[in-house]
Amino acid sequence: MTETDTHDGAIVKLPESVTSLAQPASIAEIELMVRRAEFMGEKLDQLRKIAVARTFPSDWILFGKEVYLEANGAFRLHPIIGFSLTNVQKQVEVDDGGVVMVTMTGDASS
Amino acid sequence: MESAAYKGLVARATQLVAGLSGITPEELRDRYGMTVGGSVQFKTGAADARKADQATAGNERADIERLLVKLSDGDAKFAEEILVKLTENPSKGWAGKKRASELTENGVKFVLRELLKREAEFDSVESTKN
Repeated sequence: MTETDTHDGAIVKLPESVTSLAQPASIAEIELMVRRAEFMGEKLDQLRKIAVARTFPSDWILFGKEVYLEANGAFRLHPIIGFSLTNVQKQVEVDDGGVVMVTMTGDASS
Repeated sequence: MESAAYKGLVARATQLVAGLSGITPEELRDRYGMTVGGSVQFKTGAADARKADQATAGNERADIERLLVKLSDGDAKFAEEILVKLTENPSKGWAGKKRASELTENGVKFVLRELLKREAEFDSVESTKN
C-alpha cells in the first residue's frame, strides 16, 4: 500500500496495483446492450424504408457508381427524419476565367 | 447559383444524416425498393468547370477580340473603352471589363451579341461610304 494526499489534505492508502477503475460489464449487461442495438437497428431500418418510400425515382440520380438524393427528395424526407440545418455559411470564389464557385457549409442533425 | 448551392447542401446533408449516402442503385433497390430516375454528368470542381467553360467560350472570346479590333479600327484604348461601356453597371457598382478574358460565361454571350449588332451597323455604314 502507498499513501497519497487528497484535496483536503487527508492521507488515504491506495493498493499497489491499481490499473483501471472501470468495471467490466456483466454478461447480462452485454446481452441487454446487444438487444438494444438490434432493436435500434431494426427501427432505424424501418424509418429509412418509410422515408425512402416518400421519395420518387426522379429524386434519385446516379453519379458514378453511387446514387445521390436531390433537394426535392431531401425535403420529402424531412418530416420523417426531423432534419435540422444550422450555422449555414457561404463562400463565393471567382477565378480569373470568370468561373464562380459557391461553397456552402452547415451543421446538420436529425 | 446560390440557390443551387443551398439545395445541394440540404440534399447532401439530408442523405448523410439519414444514413443513405454511399449506396449503389442495386442497394437502394434491394433494401429500400426504390429505383433511380436517371444519371447526370456533373462538372466536378472549379478546374473542370473552367476547362468546360473555356472550351465553349474560348472561340467566342476570340470573336469578341476580333470585333473590338474591327470596331475600334485597331485602337487598343478605344477597344477597351467599348468593352468597359458595354459591361459596366454603375447602379450595381460593377466596373466594366477591359479584356475579353475577364468576362464570365454569361458576359461573353451578352457582349458578343451586342458587338455583332454594332458590327452589322458598322458594316452598313461602311457599305454606304463605298
